[in-house]
Amino acid sequence: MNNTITIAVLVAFISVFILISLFAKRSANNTQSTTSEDFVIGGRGMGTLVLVLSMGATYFSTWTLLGAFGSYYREGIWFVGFAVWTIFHGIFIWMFGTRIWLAGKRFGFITPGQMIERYYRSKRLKIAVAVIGITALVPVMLIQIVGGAKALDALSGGAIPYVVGVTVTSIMVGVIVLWAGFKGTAWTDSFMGIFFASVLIFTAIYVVNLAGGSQMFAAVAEIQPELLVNSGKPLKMLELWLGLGFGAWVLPHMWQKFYSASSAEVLGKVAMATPFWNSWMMAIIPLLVGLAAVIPGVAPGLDSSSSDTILPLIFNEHLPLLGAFVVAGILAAAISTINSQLLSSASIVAEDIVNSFSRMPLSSQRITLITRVVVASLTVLVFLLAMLPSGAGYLVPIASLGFGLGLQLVPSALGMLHFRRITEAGAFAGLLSGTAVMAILAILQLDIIIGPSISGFIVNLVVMMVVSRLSAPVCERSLHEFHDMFDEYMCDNCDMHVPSSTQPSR
Amino acid sequence: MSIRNIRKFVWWVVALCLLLTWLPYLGIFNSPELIWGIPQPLALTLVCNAVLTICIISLYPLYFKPLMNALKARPIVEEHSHE
Repeated sequence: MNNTITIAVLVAFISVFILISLFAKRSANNTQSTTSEDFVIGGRGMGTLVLVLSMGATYFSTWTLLGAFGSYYREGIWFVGFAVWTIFHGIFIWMFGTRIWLAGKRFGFITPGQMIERYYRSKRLKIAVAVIGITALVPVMLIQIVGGAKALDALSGGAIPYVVGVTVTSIMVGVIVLWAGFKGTAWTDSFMGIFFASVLIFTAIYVVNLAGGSQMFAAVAEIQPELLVNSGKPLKMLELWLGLGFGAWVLPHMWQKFYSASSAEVLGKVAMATPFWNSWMMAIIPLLVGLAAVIPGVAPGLDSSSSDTILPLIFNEHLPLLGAFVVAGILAAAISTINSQLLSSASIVAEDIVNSFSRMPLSSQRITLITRVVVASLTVLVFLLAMLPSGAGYLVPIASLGFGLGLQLVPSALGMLHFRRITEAGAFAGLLSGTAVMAILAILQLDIIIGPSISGFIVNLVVMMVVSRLSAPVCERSLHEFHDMFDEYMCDNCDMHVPSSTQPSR
Repeated sequence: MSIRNIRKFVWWVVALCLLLTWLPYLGIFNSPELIWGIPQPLALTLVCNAVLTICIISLYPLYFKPLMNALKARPIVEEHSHE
């Protein structure tokens, strides 16, 4: 790979970033608003295109550009469950996202914890959800930075050392979030989403052509036919399905994306676009490239141990001049995931923890200020941990459980969104016991048939159901405010006719 | 067919497709034989994915449009505390 070109592309890439952040900052200044709602969820004003790209870029991390290709190369067709759970994200937008948006619009929520507190009338559950949310997000941010910097170091042949990678990523993430808040994050996410989607589409067309076009699978069948059948292991796939598919929508940074939609129409269009973006592009393209890499000549020198570097290997071999774009794509994928997680974590600390323990409710401006301070502090913390390999080492096992932790939040969320019978005590007991079981199994590395995430989730559900039967139900006012509202707008609306004189809500 | 029945039909199709995508994990529809150049388990998943894509697109007229109409007819009364 030509290092001069790589560095030139990266400099151009970073310049575009700064320019977009500047525009986002100016746009935010024009609205002359400093509320936490503006800073954290873009004033509930996000449109379809920005939200589709931002949600996609946030969900898909460096793992998509590196690990997903390797998973298909090693596991073959077995990993195609990835394409199915990502298509269900569109359904989850209707089932969960729209209800979150409705409640957020009515009550002005900006964090998941605020919604929990309003519905369950429970500060302890709000704080528990906040702590688990941050525990799920911060280590994942760290491994994104560490993984991205290591990849940059390896791909550039040392021209971009690990220290420079960590520093550049941390500074860019911190600057974008501090400077322009949610709007800057969403706009830069959109740019990065388009950028790494272009890299993926170009790669797919080029590699499939290189691998024989329509004869590609026939060629793979002659070399490694076992990759073209499903190797079973349904429980392993179920764990991935539940954690990365079902658990993803409830993670705080994804939850807040739902709040940010400007209208139900936007959410509907995002749901329609999701299968094409999440599944057909982000999940199917790695399948084609991962399997094509089996064919001799496509990715020379590749084996299972180096299978996470398929993309760079292909570019180095066939298109060395374009390798710089893969490097920039990896940086884009890392930053677009971390910036949303950083803003989300900071807003949770400010709103759900600091504000909860404050004697007097803090003003919106004060919360925005605290959020900015926490953004800066978390950026420095993650930077320092990334510089200390031992510090990062402790957090990697926790990070691998990030989506599993998200899964533990699902039962509490389902109580607010769908099931009236789930009580505060049930949700709280389920959350604590499920998380504890998951943590114990992970720490002790106990080898049981089902993994820590599913084990914790099952315990969570059982405890939640038992305790809910034995404890006081959620108050009537909450049931009316939430469930009756959802029924009114989302269930009993088949015969709704719009009076001609009625104006749209916003 | 009424909108309620179409909604039910769509959910049945979604459930069926989800079930079908799991069959290769249980050893069913899991032959390496190529169908139109695509291995059988992958072909099954891709067909299900195509049907699921149509189902998700249909959520817009079936669910989001009625929601939008409901919101126009009865705008949400906002009770913000973050002003």
